[in-house]
Amino acid sequence: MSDAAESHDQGPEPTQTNLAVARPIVKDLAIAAEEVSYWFGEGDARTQVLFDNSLQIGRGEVVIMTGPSGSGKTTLLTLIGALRRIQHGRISVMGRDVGALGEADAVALRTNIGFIFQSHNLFTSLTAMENVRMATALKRGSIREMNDRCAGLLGRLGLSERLDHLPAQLSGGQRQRVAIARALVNSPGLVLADEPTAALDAESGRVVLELLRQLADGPARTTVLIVTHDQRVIDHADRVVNMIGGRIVANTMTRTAVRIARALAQSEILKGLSEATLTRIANVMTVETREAGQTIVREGEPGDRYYLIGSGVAVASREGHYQDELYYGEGFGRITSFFGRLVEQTVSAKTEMELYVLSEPDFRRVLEADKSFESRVRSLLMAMNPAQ
Amino acid sequence: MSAGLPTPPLALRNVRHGGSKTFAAIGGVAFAITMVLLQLGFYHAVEITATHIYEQIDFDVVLLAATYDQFFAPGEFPKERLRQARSLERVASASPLYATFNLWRCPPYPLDESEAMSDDDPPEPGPLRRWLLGDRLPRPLKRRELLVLGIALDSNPFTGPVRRAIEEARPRLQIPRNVLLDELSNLDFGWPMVGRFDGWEMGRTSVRVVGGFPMLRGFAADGIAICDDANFARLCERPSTEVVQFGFLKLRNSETAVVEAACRELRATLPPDVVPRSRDEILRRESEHWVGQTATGKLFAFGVLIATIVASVVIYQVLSNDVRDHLAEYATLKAMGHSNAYLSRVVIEQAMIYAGVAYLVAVVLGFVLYRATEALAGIPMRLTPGILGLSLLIASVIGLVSAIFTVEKVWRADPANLF
Repeated sequence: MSDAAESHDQGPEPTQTNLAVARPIVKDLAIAAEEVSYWFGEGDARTQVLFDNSLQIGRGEVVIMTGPSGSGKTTLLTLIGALRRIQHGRISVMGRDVGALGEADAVALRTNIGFIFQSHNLFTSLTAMENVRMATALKRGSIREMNDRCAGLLGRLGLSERLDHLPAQLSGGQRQRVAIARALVNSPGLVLADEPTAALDAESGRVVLELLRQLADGPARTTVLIVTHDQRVIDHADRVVNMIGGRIVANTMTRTAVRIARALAQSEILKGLSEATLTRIANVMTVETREAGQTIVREGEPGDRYYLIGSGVAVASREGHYQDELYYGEGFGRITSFFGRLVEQTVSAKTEMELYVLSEPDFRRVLEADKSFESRVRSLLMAMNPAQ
Repeated sequence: MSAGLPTPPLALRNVRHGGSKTFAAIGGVAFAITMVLLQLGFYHAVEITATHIYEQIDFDVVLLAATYDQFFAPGEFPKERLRQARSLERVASASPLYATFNLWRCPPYPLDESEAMSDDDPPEPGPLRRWLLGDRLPRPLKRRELLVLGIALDSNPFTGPVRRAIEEARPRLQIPRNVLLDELSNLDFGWPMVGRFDGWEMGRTSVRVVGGFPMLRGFAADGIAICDDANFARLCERPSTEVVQFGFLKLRNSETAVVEAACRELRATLPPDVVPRSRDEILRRESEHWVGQTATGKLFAFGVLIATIVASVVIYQVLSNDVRDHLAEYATLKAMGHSNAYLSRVVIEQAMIYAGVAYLVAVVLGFVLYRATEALAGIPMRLTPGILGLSLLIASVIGLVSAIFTVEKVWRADPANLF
């Protein structure tokens, strides 16, 4: 079997997790959900609310979950937070298989998760400081250190003058900031937040989001999963997950999407296409890796995918003669069934490579959906086959 | 305040900030525990009064009629049985005691007939007025039953203050129609009027009160008079002094084994119309009768049970409402990683604080009510360490039981519903 054939066999079908834009940047995963389904009710009233959802989130990612009401994002959040029993599929959180946890282990896992709810749920009988101290009590530490940590965080959230105030003496925004401090004071490994900035003014919202970002970027590399409709949050996010009807319909690492779109923009045949078109193409590309020396496509053979170099260096040759080195953003490969031509050059990996791959079915789907892309491709066809 | 504690004192804070709910909980439970204290006080008073007359008598063995039921329904037997008993080697002395109820002419207040109330005047005043006015409470002249005890003056069976009072009045008690009146008897019987009133009557005979003695009232007798055996027969219309109700025997040796042997010997020697009982045996039987067999003891025991249930329901209601109002907060604590055990502890602590504070309030209230009840009813209400300890135990059980029923609600708080 040829190297090219091997490479074809290795090419995986696009899934929720192997799309290039969905892959975590880091290999250290905080959350790994596999084919998670969930039902509410029993018997005739049983209703499925989640359908085979898979999701991988790396440590230190800030993830936004969006979607209409009833799309299942909250249910998925509660499953990740070990607040519901997993019925089908598997979820691993910070290396623990949530479905296999007993009640005590689930409670222990939750001590490393910070929950921020839409409603502040503060005890009306406890001061701001004491409400936050309810969280520090879950971890070992000296009382002085706990007090300092609580006061410090409340101070960062603009509440240093309100430490001894009861919730009834605080505004709605201040209460929500106390609740956020309660969730973050132990520097949890994972934060699950439901509309955390909804009750906050612009400045308070900015402070909270910066705090979450700092936690994610800090030594704890806290993973933050936020259900929100607040556009301000998107600027702080690494990944946007969109759910509709109980399914993840989009799962995009924003930085990766931008990186692929930029690489696509470098490609000669795609130059000048709109960002929307480039993003649409980027969103369907899968990611593949190659070892150094491995042949990716072979001259004169039919091809069924288009490759874009994400990282590494490739060597192109024709009729056995070195032709060129290919770098980030350069494309190669051919979809023979559409263009009517065989692959024109042999391309081998010179170093370890990461390739963004557009398969024939995805190519045709994008073509149908995007008229500007179709027009550009038809122009290319015309140039390649003037007789057509 | 909580800065020095590892975990904020949530239960205490909930109680402190509970406002009217806390007030209702503590007020309701304090009321119920006060009822418990009163019921225990009554129960204890039954125990005390069950034996209080026997306790005033110096004896090792008592001879009772075969038909004896309890002190106030003793039956009777021939005085000859005492002489027969006295002839036994072990018996040092034998003292008869005569006992029956008789009508007593109670003086009016005020004594001035022009100011005294008639029988047509308004009905009895309320307990508070009775308490406040004491012996100055206006009341008409009336007749009430009191217990009359007769003794042979040369064989006085009583001991302690009662004996001393009898001995002091001995010459006067030998005179016909002279009696002693219980200083602690119901005010209606007129002890405070002694020396100012001269219209005393027992049955259909005019008598003179020539002194007093201190003896507790009980649930069966609200007042007691003591006279010599001849006066007893005269005033209570008995044909002679040859029929007695009790025969108190002193033995030469009071050791338990000797007493038991004496009882066996008396049982073998005397005819079956009398039954000998040792001191310990009669005290135990009398106590059992009043506490265990009569409605009086059961009534107060049942009262304790009802008050306990009422207090438990009050705390449960307040606690469960409080938990319901804070269910989201408890669910948040669970989401954060606090265990059901911790939440249970908070609920139990809160219940115990309610019960503890209510207990302290109830003790203060109970102390006042004990004094009032004793003054009004004349029964011995003693707030003993035993009663305080038992009521504290009951308060703790009340807190614990109501908390256990509430804990289940906290356990059902589902953090998944918070999203």
